[in-house]
Parts: sequence; C-alpha cells; structure tokens
Amino acid sequence: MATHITAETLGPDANPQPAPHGKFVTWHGVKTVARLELIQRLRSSRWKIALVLWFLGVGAICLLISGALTTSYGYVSTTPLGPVMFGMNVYFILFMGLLITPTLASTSINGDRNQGTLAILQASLLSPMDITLGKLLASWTSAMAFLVVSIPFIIWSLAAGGVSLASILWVLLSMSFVLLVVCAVSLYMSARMTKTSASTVMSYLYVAFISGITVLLVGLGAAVLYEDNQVLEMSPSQYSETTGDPIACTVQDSYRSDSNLDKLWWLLAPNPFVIVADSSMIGQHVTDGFSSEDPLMAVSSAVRVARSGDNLSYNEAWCREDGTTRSAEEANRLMSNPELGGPVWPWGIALNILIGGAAVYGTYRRLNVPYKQLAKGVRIA
Amino acid sequence: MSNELDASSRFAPEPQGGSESTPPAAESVTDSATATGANAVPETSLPDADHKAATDQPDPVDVIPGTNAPVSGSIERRAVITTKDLVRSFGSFVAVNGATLNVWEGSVTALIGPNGSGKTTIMLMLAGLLSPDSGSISVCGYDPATQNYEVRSQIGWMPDQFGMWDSLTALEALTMTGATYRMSAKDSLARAHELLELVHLTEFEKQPAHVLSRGQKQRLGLARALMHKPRLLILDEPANGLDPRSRIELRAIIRELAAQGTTILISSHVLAELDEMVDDAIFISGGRTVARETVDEARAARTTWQMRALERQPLIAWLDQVHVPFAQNTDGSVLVNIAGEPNASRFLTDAVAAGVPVVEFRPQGGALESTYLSLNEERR
Repeated sequence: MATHITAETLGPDANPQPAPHGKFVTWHGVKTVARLELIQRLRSSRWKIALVLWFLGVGAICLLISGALTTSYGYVSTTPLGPVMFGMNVYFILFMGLLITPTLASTSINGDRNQGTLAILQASLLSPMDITLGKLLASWTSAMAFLVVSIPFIIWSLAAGGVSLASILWVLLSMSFVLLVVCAVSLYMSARMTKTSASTVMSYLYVAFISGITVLLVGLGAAVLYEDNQVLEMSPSQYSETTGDPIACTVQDSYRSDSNLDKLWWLLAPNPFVIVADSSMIGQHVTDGFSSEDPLMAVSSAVRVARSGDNLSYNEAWCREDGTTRSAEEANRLMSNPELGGPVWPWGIALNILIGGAAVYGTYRRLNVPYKQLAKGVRIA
Repeated sequence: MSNELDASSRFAPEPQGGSESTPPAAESVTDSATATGANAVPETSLPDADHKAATDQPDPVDVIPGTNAPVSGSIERRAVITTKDLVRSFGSFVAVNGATLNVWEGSVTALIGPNGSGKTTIMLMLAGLLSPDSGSISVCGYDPATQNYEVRSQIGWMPDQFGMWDSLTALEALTMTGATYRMSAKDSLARAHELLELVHLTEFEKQPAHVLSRGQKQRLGLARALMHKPRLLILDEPANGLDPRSRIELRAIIRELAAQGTTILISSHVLAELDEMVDDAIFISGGRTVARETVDEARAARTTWQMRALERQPLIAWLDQVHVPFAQNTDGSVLVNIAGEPNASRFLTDAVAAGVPVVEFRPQGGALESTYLSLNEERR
C-alpha cells in the first residue's frame, strides 16, 4: 500500500497574506449558509410530497369555501361575493401558513448543534450574523414556497369580482412579512433551546400568542377596563321640516359605558390576521364594516374603530356638546368615517419589525464565538 | 483534585503488564535511573523555570509575549501557539485549571491525557470557539478573544464528535467548506479534488455522505479541515474509528503536512501510534499541563526492555551469569531494566556475543506510553 503523498501544495502557502479582519455580515456568507440549508432540505424527498399535499389540501378547502359561499349567497346581501371569498381564502391560507412556518425554522440551529455541524460553521470564516441571516433566508424561502403554491387560490377570487389587484398585492406582501417574523422568532427559539422539541413548542406558543391570545387579552382587558363614564348625552330635539336633519339638540348628563378599547388596540396591532386585513384595505375606503361578511373588512374596521374609541352615533355626529348642530356634510363625514383612528397596519409592521429584530439579534448573540458563557446543556462540539 | 503527580517516580518504571514477579533488585536500577534523569521535582513547584515544565524546551526560545516572534538573538523555532495559565470552568466544574503550553512551528505535537482532563476544552479555546475565564492565548500571533476571525483563518479544526452534511456529496461537502472559508469556487473545486485524492475518497465524489462508513467520514472530516491550507491543524482524536490501514495513511498525511510547514496539534489516546507521528508531547491531567517531553527524550527515558530468545534457558542462564535482574513473562520473554539506549545497545551486543539466540529485543511499551503511565495520574 503506497503511502507516499504526492500533493506538493498540501501545506500552507509560503508567503501568506496577513489575515483580514472579519466583517459583521457579508452577502457571500449569508448566501453560503442559505444554500447549504436549502440543498439539504431539497434533497429530502418529503419536501416535494409536502408541497403537493399542501396544494391539494389547501386547494380543496379553498374551493369548498368558495363553493359554499356561492350556493349560500342566495340572500340579498350588501357585500359582494368576491371580497368575501377572497377574505375567507386568504385567512385560511394565512392560518395554514402560520401552522407550518414554525417548523421550518425551529430546529435549524439546535438540530445542527445536535448533529455536530453547527460548530463547523462557527469555526469557519462565516460570521455569526452570516449564519443567522442565512438560516433565516432559507427558512423564509421555504415558507414562501408554500405561499407561492397557494397563490392560485388567492387569485381565484378575482374571478368573482370586487377584489382589486392592489389588494392581492398587499395581502401577499403582508403575509410574506408576517411569516418572515415568525421564521425569525422560531429561529431564535432554536438558538435558545437545546432540545428541538422545546424550541418547536415555543415557536408554536409564539404563533398562538400573537394570533389568538392577543385577541383574548383584548377581550378580557376590555371587560376588566369596562367602566361607566359620566358623559354628556346629546339628542336632537328639533328636526328641520325640509331636510329632516336635526337643527337643535338637548344636552343632558348621562352615563355611558365605555369599553376603553382604545387603550388596548395596540395588542391587536401585531396580530398577523389584523395586519393582513388592514393592509388589504390600503387605498380603499373602510366603511363601517362590522356587520360585513368580508372578514378582512370586518377585522380591519373593528380594529380601527377600537383604536379610535367608539365611533360616533347619529346623535353624536349631529349634535355638538353645546347643543348646537353640525352641518350636514360634517355630520355625514363623522358618521360614515369610523376610521378616525387611521390605519393600524403601520403599527403592526413596526411592532413586528421590533420583534423580528430582537429575535435576529438574540440569535446572533447565541451564535457569537468565542463563547464566554455556555447555556446549560449546550455542548459546542 | 486529588491527582498527585508522583514526581519521584517519574523515571521509576513499574513492572508493565505480563510480568509474574517484580524484579528483586529493581531498586538499585531505579536509583540509577533517577540519577540520570535528575529532573524529579516536587509537584508544588509547577510551573518553575528550572525543571521540565510544559513551557520549557531543551533550548528555550524566548518569544515576545503575545506574538510568535522570537526575541532577537535566539534560535529559529517560533511558537505557533502560546498559552499561559488558562483557566476555564463550566459552572462549578473546573475543566481547565492552569494550562500553559507552547506548540512550535512545523512540529507535530501530541496533547495526551486521560478522559476528562480538559484536552477538548483546551482545543476549543485554541480554535477560538470558547474563551478562557483567565489566562492568555496566542495562536499564530493572534489573540482569539479579540482577533477571532484572524485566528479562524489560520487554523483547521477537526473536533472529536463532528457532523457531516449527510445529504451533500463528498465533493459538495468540501466545496461548501471552501465557500465557508471564502475561497473562490474555482480554487475550492481544485482543492477539493486534490484532497479527495489524498484521503482516498475519490470514488465517493458524487455519492452522498450518508453512505460513507465511520472511518470514511473521519477521513472526509480531515479533508474538510485541510480545505483552506491552514497554518495550524488542531485534531481532536482524529484516528477514532479508523481501520489500521487508514491509521497508517493518516500518519503519513500528518508527517507530510508537517514537512510542508503545517503545525499540527493532535490529541489522542492511542499512544503507541503517536510515538511514530509526533515530535513533542504535552501531558494534561486534571485540567493542568503536568509535563512535556519530546519523543526523543521519551525514548531516551525508557528503561524497561523486553527480550526473547529462541529458547528460554540460555537467556535466563546468561542473565543470571551477568547478574542482571529480570522479570519473566508468561510467553517466555523477559523484562529487564536498562537505563538509556546506549546501554541497551551494549546489552544486546553482549547478549548476542555470548551466544544467546535473541529473536526480539524491544522497549516495553511505547515511549510516550511509558511516560504517561509513569505520571501516575488519575482519571477523572
């Protein structure tokens, strides 16, 4: 057995350059890590099966929703069918997306650590931020794959009319963003926890919290903060004979219950369902849609109204507190425009950026070498 | 820590496995042995300048602290790794408790110690993945705490339990590693082919890594550590799981790497093969560097030799005749204590001249093994 090695260039270069100082993050590093992750994911055949099942499953449900709505829409309804179908489908797809996205990132770091491949990356010339962003990019790309496969069912609603292309665009953008933040938080959990089961559970708890518990908290909070306020109640006393609009009002002391939702609306802002709903209303006029069957419209107006406080009733719109009345235009404006609070989605985006940014930073901190403090149970290699 | 370094028995050979009775006059030979190796010092004086502490070399080279540049006027050898009083604990467990060592450029150095002695922790600190609680490190002239990237660019690290990307092919695993070391795609590919040939995995080039056996993955791991032509290789038990042929090949690769200028630090339990691979040995126990020795010195220090003749009787008769105490093994060979290789050579010449049909005359145990066992250290 020949043991003579022939490679002349085996050893280090004769005149090495002085070593460069590493950069905080580089596109090359991020790309390398993302490529590594995605190649490994793609090579598992279950991936394709998952996408196919997703397409079939989500597709079937969406078609069922659409079918059910079409047949049951025999009643006279103020809301056109298109947006309702669109809203239902979008919410269903968002729900499913939120269900699967945590798993795409929640074992990324601790899985690698358990396998022994994380230390290899940390010992290479990749920076901790390269690894963080690369893994985030890979898991988000995977989530986008599922979203892209669902697009046909979102666009389908165009056929029923009443939905603008802009709405579809905003909805897709906001769903992508929301899933990105879920990936970031799941990635942080995978960096924080040593066991993959623990990180997956925590990722799901986050999704449950941000999507469901926040609503619960707002409802309970409103019940707790419910108070009776002494207010001035205005009621019209005289009506014009020509237009039928009020021309004089009486004012008296009264009590009114106030659920104080305007103190709690911010809890709803980062909710993915709220963000998607509210952003779909960009460029549109949000009418008083509480009773709308369009879920997006309903949620959007509900949250905007919650933000602004109770919207004005007919009496309040017409009568000022000193007993005089407002003009017709003013009253109509105040009444039919419940969105005194303005769009909620910017706040939602901002809060999510904060959450996602904190998650990314936390992950970076946990990957930074050399380690000074090792978390319990963590073995570097 | 109750691991006493019994320094007085530093050069006192204990009867190695297989002997039936202790040599009756062993004490006299022992005394002469300790006389020649007059470096037995009490343990508490570690680290001291005038004994064989781990920082010393036979010809000490002064280096400017924090770099590997020699103080002007001293000799050639530069230190690629210098550590001083490294301490690292994990919670209440003190893994490293004062490790001070030098590793010289172009040498192959072994890090030897029982399980749990802190070898892996030291290597992690050298690789820049773990920072010490106290103490200083200089690797290739850079400080891993503040110049971590620079350190990582100079070293190749092969951990004890490493993972392989199972769904990547062998070639892709190496080119991906090249990408993580910011090599160009072209360089990466060329180097990957070269290394696959070196570790004899070319036929697995296009096969996913999960079909590789344990030993093959080990070889691929070594190739991975070599991708970016590191100046310093840190190998944590690289021969783990390798079959005999692969071990021999690994030895050849390592010697070739050293000949071309790579400095190598190996930790291993298999002392016998380290003898043939390494130049220096650093002994670690209880998180401290307890001794350091070059293989040449270890060879010179060996005192137990095993001897066997075609027939036992003439050998025993001759030994009685020259009044050399010996111990008998069950297989007919005998163990004798001889101080130093010159004496051993003379002994053999005399035996052959006297007509003893000697067929085997070799040191008992490996050089490093003898030193290691004589350290009398406890496993944790």
